[in-house]
Amino acid sequence: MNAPFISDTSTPYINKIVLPYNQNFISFRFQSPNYSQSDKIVYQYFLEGVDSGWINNSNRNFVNYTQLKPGKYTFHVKSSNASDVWCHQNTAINIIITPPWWLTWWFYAISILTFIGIVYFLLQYRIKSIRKQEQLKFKIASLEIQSLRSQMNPHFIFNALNSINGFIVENKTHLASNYLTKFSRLIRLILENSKSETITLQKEVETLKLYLLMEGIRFDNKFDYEIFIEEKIDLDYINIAPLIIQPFAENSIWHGLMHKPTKGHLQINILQNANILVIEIIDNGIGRAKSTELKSKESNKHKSYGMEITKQRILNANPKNSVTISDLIDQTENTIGTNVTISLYI
Amino acid sequence: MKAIIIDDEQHCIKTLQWTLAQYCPDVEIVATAENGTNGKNSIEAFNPDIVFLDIEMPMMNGIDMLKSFEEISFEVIFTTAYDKYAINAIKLNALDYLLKPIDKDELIAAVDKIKTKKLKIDKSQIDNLHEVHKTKIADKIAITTNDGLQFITLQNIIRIEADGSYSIFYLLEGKKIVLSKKLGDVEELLEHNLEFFRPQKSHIINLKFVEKYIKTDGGEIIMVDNARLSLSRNKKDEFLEMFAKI
Repeated sequence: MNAPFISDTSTPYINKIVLPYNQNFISFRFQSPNYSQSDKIVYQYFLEGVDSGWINNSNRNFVNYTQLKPGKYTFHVKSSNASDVWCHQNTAINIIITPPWWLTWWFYAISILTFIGIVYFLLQYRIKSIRKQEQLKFKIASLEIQSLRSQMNPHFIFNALNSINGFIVENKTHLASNYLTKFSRLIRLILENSKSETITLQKEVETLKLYLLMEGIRFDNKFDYEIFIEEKIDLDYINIAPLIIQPFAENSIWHGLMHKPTKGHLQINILQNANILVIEIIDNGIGRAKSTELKSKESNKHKSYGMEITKQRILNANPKNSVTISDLIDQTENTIGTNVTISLYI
Repeated sequence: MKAIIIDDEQHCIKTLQWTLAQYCPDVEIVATAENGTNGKNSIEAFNPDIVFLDIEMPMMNGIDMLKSFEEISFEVIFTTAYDKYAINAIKLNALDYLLKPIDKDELIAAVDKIKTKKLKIDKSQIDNLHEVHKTKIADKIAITTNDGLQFITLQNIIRIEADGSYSIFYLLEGKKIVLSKKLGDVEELLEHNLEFFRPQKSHIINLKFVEKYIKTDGGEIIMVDNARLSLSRNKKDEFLEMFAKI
């Protein structure tokens, strides 16, 4: 076997050649060291990795291989002399054709890792953007709730201002001043409370008391009221959504008690049953049916969306919460008032 | 009792004069002033028992005016329409205030409180008020006890326990101070200080002094003074969130 040539350059005798993938056209030339009757010499070769066995080459001393794929090959060659005796040992050379960089294991590994990385980042990005959207939705929802909270205020504000105006016109200085200062305290509380998602029951009751006090003054004590709070209830610690009792109390006064010819009574009970806070708003007014009847007669309909919004807010806070409104009926089936029961999970 | 009203709005002075005349006849207005400088002069000239003092005034505000006194020989009732920071600062320093428009019932209560008050205002209350109002950062709380006035550095409070209508402050180095305020009021006072948290009905804790949090069924907090406090179910998420921040 002659010294191997790599691309026409001679390489000293070695038993291993490493070639890049694009030098895969290989010619082997060999020469038996037996020079007697050289035309009778027969060669056999075998490229392990391509050929399945020895191939007879008669006395041609070369063989070409083209388009060898990257991999490991071993080229064997042997010869026989004129008397057909094969040499004992064959000559072998190892050929390694290295794969191009895009076919190497590390390239595969990097590609797979990059692919996984891209998928991972895309997923993360998607998750993040979904989260952002959720946060935005949540923000909008809480803004909506806040605007609902403040939507109730105009009722108070204009009714109260109207009453103050009345006291001034009638020259009732003390009443006007007293009413105005109570009103400002109430507005202060409502403004403070409307900023928070929840407030202490203490604050809610304080707001309610102030409201009832004002309505009491305004209607010249056309009704009296009582707030009963079960002793075991910790007003200071229980948190509820702000301003949820007042709209129902307002409704009782305006639509139940105001139309009553005699002095009415508003009873508010705050009770606790395990983790349920029960708030009852009971009036002995004219009842809902009569009130609706009266309302339809009035040309100036008083819109009572305060109760609807409040009910929605109560349910938003916890779907298990409930608001039930029922008529109170005496033995002769006459309506003798209305009962609103609010159940809050705390 | 002699009183002076200091307010930059004339109609506020008139209204308060009218309300006092109607509901607190034993309070005599000896002078009124429309700015801090005149107010100071009036106080020095008349030596009043009570000063009704507006906080927001141009040039020299009410707190600056008070700070300029060497000694406070009179009672002060601050009056303000709306200033959350100022109100909180006043409360933190155990001082009194009325919100404008002034409610007659609150006015009567404030005047009655002064009649029965034993302790004079300490200059340190005013100094600290001035500091908190200026920097909007409170690091101390003034507490009036039977023994007198005491300042507690907020960073030294480990926990505050409710005891009926009292609150017991547990401080570093094993000290204990009782304040005649409900825990809910104390909580409100500390609402701007994020390291304070109420894990349950009867406790406010300083999150910096939490030694351990045990994840048992309910959750238990162990403070550096070895107090074991249960964590309310509905406060758990909030606690873990705040605890992670500190």
